[in-house]
Amino acid sequence: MEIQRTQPGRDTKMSHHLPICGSKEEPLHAIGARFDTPDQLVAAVNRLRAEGYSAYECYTPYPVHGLAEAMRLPKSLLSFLVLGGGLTAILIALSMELVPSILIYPLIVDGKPLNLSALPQYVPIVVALTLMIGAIAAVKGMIILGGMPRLNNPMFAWDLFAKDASRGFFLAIEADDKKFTTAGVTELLHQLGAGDVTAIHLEEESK
Amino acid sequence: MKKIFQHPARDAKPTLWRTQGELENSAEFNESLAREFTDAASGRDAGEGLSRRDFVRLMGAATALTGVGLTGCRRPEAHLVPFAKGAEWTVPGKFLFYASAMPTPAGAVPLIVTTSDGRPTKVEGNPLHPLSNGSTDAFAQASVLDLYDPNRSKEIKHDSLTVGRGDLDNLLAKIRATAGSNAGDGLAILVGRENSPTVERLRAALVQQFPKILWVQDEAISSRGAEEVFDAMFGAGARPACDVAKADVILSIGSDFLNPAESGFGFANGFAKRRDPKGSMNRLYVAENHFSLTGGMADHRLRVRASEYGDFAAAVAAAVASKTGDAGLKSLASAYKGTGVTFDPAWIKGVADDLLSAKGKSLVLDGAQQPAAVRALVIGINAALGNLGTTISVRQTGAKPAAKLSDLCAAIKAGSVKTLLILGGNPVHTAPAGLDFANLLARVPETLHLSLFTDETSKVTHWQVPAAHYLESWGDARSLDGTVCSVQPMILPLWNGISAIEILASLAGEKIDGPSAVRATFASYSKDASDAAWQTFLKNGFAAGTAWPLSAPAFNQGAALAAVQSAKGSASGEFEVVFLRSSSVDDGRYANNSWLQETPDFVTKLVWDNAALVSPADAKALGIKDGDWLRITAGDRYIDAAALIAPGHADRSVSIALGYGRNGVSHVMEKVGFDAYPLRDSSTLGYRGGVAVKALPKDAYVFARTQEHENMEGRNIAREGTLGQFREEPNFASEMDGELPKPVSIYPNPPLTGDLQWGLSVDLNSCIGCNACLVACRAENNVPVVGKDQVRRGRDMAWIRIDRWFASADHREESLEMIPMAVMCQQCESAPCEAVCPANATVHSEEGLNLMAYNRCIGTRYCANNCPWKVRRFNWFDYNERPLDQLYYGPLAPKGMADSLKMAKNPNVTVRMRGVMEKCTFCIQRIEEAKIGRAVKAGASDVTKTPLPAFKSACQQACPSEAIVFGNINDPQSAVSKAKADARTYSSLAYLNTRPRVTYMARVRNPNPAMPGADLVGAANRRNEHA
Amino acid sequence: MSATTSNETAAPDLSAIARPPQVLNNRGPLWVTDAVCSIVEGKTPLWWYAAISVSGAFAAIGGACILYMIVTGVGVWGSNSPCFWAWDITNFIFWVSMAHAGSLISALLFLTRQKWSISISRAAEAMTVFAIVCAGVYPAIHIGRVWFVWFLFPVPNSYGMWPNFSSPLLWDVFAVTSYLTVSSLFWFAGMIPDLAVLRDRATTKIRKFAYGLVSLGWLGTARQWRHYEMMYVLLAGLTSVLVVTVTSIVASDCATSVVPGWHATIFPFYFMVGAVYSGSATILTLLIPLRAIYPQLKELITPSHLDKVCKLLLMMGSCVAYVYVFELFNAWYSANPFERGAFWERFTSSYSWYAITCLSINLTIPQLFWFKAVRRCLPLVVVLAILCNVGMWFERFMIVTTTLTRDFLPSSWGNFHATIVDILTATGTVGIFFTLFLLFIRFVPIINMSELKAALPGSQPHGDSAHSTGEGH
Repeated sequence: MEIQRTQPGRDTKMSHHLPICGSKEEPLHAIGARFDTPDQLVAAVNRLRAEGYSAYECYTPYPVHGLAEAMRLPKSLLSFLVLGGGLTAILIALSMELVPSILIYPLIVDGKPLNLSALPQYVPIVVALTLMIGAIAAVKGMIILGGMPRLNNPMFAWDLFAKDASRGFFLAIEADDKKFTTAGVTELLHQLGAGDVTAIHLEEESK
Repeated sequence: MKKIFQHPARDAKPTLWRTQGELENSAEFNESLAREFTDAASGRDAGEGLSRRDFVRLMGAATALTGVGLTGCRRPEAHLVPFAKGAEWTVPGKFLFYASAMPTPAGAVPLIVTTSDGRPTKVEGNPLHPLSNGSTDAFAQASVLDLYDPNRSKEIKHDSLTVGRGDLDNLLAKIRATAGSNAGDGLAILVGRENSPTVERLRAALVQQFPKILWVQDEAISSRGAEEVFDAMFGAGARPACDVAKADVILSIGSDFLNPAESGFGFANGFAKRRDPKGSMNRLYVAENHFSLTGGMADHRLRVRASEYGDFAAAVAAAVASKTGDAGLKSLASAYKGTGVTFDPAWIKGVADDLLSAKGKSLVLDGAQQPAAVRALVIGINAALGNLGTTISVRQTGAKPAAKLSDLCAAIKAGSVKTLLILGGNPVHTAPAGLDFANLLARVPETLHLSLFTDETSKVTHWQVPAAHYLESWGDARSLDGTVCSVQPMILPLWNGISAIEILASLAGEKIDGPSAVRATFASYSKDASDAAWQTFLKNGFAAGTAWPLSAPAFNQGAALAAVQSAKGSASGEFEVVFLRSSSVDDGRYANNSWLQETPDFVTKLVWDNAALVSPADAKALGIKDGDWLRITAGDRYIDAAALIAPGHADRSVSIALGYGRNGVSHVMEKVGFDAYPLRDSSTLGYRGGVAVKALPKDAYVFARTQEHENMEGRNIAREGTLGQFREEPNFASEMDGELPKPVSIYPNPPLTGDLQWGLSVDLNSCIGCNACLVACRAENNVPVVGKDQVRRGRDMAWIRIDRWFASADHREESLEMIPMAVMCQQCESAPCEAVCPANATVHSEEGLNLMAYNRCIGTRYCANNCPWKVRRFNWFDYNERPLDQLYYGPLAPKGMADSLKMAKNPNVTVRMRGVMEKCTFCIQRIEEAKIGRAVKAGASDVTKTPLPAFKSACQQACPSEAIVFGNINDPQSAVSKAKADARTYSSLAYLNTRPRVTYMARVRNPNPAMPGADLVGAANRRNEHA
Repeated sequence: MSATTSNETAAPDLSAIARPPQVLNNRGPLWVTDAVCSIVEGKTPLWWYAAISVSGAFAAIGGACILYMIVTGVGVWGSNSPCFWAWDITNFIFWVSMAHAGSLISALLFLTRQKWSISISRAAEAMTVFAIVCAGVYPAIHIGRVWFVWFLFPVPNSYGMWPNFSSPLLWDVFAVTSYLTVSSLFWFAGMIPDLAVLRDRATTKIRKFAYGLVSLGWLGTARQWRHYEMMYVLLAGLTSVLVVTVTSIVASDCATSVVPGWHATIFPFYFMVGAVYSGSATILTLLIPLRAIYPQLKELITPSHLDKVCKLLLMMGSCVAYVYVFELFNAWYSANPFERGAFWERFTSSYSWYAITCLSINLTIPQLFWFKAVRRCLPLVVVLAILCNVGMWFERFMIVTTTLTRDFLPSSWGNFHATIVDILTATGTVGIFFTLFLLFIRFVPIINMSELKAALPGSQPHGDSAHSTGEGH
């Protein structure tokens, strides 16, 4: 692989002069690191959990199986949102159809009864609306739960990440983690075989 | 939104009034004037907001004030004003009904004219008249459009310069002066046949003042030949009057007597009365060369060339004579020299025996166009059968023979005609070609043509005078039986038209003041000439007791023999050409009428064209298909016409309708059909033998037909059986659904709760397919005309159509039968069209009507796809607003319709715009009108208990044979309920379980077992199914 | 460790039971990224300009025809009585059916973990969306008074009336709307991570901004992926159901009517199989030339992928054949003269050649795909696929138009003759379709990179190594 990377050094002094991105005046946001393989990432996550870190995030170019489990992420609520959306749709659709057709504007059409015994003719629209609103709920839910839409992110300050997130598996331990110390985190990351360990400061505009 | 109308101050006792109320100056009336509408109208269902139905109801309400039972209201002569000028005191939507009559060569059509806002919009038959059952024919229905036709000639022209009325008066004065000086020498007057006593009176006056005057009467399709025979045989002026209703057995030899335009009124009705299989059913034999309405009704039909009618008549005569030993008839039969063709003896024998079995109760008829010999033979047969005095009597018309067109031509040749007034007809177009009339006319120093349209004749006469339409002018006319009908103006002449009576009167030196001339005539024949009698005459539309006296005919054997001997034999074998009266334009006089141009021919279903009809066999022999060109050569003249293969047509015979192919006259007639007049000679007005027919190698002509597929494909749509079948199994028709599943509803259908439930029944046994209903519907419902190109694309708009089925149990021409079947919206109780309309634009009323809300329609056309009867019509273009030849220009085409045409519209019916679906609504505007009338009558009392004012749907009202019955099926006493209870009743496509409110009564034929092919009669539903 | 090292370990022992590789030549994720993105990032090729100007021209002409039709009247089409619907609904059904295959391939095959569908799913979904757009054109404009189209929506109005919910046309309105919405969402949501990649790689400000906007700030955090995967499964599920619903509803346009030849309960199935049949044909027609133009795609869209699409086409084609036979049998067995008549006329009337073309194509062409040789000869496959769609168009025309021209009363039978406006409007929709597809090729990754990379060998942690051989869950 033709990626230029600094060797993980045994020399602890190095931790004091980490490569820094963002602006030094701004507070430190997180310390980021890059792994080459999903295995390293998952291993790292397991280790962090064992160490008791909680405020960290993984960034992968594609869904890595077992990562979420390792991070002990809860199951996604999305399915419940969709269920909710679907049920609402059914109610809306049924009332939209039945109330006018039977109560408000009853019209003799094709000699069909003006009551629920003609229910079948109302079903197709119910199904269509249910599926549509369900789908909208799913996408909207994903976007919101995923913290989107968001046009900027402190991580973008980190060029390596911002330019080419798809070239590796990134880990960022955030500064507001209670166990967070620059030295400790740097050390830990090096031990985990991470490369490009970098201190990510906020940028002016992101204040 | 309500407009309060400013009414002029009225005297306590008005001299003219619109309602009884106004006459009595009653409080209610004054209030109603102020309030425009009655409680009953505006009060009911006020909450609903103004839906379309309310609108219709309100319009009806106004009508109810004046309309119902107002037939007799004296009309305000003094205040007649063309609506173009606006009449301040008229109340919009109020109909007034006046009695009048439409003069036609066959006799006046007694009419009740509906006028709204001072303009006539619709005509109906006058039920008071003895001959009329309140019905009309297609021509009468369409005559309203002629009145408003923007193509009418509008100005008096002299040598194509517009001149004033004064110049015309001067001309007439000059003519009168010269005539006075030289006893009318050189003055010739050519009139059409309008059966007007006033014209006759003025003629007498003129002849008396100017003895040398030449009085000529001509009709393109005239019965002059026949009348000469009658004069000879029954005495001068005696005309036979046939009573079809009395006849048990009828033989028609080329006579289309069921067609009102051909034979006048009363025949179809009288015939239909005898077609009820429960009563004593008559039997009809027809020998004809092409399928006519009459042929379609026949129990036995024989294809006979027109030139062989004589031979046929002679054969029958011989057969009858041999049975009766009637020497006179025998001599007649043997004296006839025809083509020597022979007929199936079994057929002749069968007919003769059947006629004899009904001695005195039979009837033999022939067409008016046939030579004297045939007519004499026919009368001979009737005499031998003892029909004279029973089914045939004579009326003494006292008609004085007028000179013929040929006499006029002779006179012109002799140079003895200096002034020629053509007060009727269009001789330049219609005169027998042999007379070369057009050129002769040029020789007359002074010519004048009085006509509705600037036609071929007007183009060559020195003077062109716009004629007044019969709805614009005073007049009178005798109906078939001689009863004098009044002709009243409904509106001032729209374009300063002048009536023939006015011109004749001023020639005769009579002062014309409104009805004065007619009134004078009235005084001459009416026993009581008082004002009251005159009022009654106008009110009823006819003068009772003026019919010509009936008497038993004295048959002059010698004359008959002479007539028969006059026939000179002709060679059989060569082609003949038969000239037909067009079912759309008559002899061409209605060629400008787009309603009629778009009315399909009875049999060929051809619109905007005529065609050379040939038999399938001839077509094969000539190697032609529909639309291929034929050159028909007679003597030194020929015409080129496109051919149409006509099932049931006689071989070696070509039939072509007259009055078409008139290019350069008006854009309506442009490129419409082929002119057959050039082939006619004075001696061959009806048909012409010895013509050569050959196919031309030209690209096929494109016809527009409203029905292209005439085979039922083994589907029992129109159902028929025989009398025997009916007696065994009266409900044979409803049994014909065969193995189709019996209808089952999976839903409990919502009850239709209205106290009135509308239904309609069509009796296929009396429906002759005459198109009267079709044109009546067009007039009543503002149905647009779409033009030939659109019809060709399958876009005709007629709400009611007459499907014409051909059926032949053994697939042979000989056993071919024709069944016309009127199809309109079936008003299904569970209508397939309703279910599929996404916008709810078509829904059901609680009275069982399939409603159509034009405002709501967005034009998905799904309803029409799902209509099994395909009776829904779609406005593919803005047919009302755009010129028909520029439909495809879209917004680039000029928008809007001629003002005069707007005046022809029925104000109670929406004019539909582009993109909406429309269809028959059972004339809902009339239904609502009647319901308002009922509400008004009921007042505070229970509306549902109050009887509904009598009313009919437009199609029902027009039907001459009373085949269509419409009404409330909730009332077991109503005619429609009785009709639907009849055993013959069935509903078409019953297996779909749409439960149509329109049902049909199967046709029953009455074959004579002794006839060849009797077992093939009434067998239209024999299975010949494929797959 | 890099992709190269990963397959050293993975390849030999498992090759025996391994499925055909997802990507040829053991390409790694980085290569995939470059390969797919290069199509979008590279300089716009000349052929693209040529192609889009042609398709754009057709689309414009089509638009003009529609405008003319709206201001002049539906009469400018050849439709008439009895044939009140003709090319409008024929093309509507043709397009909307074509759409179905895309959803099915991406959704149903995703649910069933058919990994081979990954590399074609994005293009298939795009085809779906664009086909629905084309289909949507017709119901919108074919009505007589377009300006009143809002009567179709349940809004209170002065007539005190309400749409008729029993009308299949109204079902269509809702079905097509939701189908367009859902399939667009499905398509777009699936694209977000890839758009994020484009954003990251973007070199110009405009591209960065544009892709940044549409990728909604996707970072690929574990949380996002968790929700994303859940959403994708749900959407796939909903879409699969929706496809069946929509096709059944469209089929009800015919099936719920009384017209002989329409009124048949088999229609939903009929339309479903026909839909996937024509859809897979379209996918082949689009993707094979695309591979030729962009060689790198040859390694992503492998012959074995196309081979599987061919087999799908074969299966659906056979179902269609079954329906044809069943229809005829049913008509005969009904012993109903109108039913029998409808089908008799279908093959004997002046329209017989439509039916014959339709049958001769749809009964024979797909059967050729029994032969591996045919399936592997890609140029031939393209030709056959195009033929299949021709056959399907004729089938739609046969169902809609021919049936209408021969209904209950022979007296009202007629014929339909297409006008130039009919034809140009139809070609217009084709133009719209290809214009949209060309834009798609140019501006978004035509292959679902993230899903593909996740399915690559060695792309998953070893603890979870079952995935690396690409076997399903």
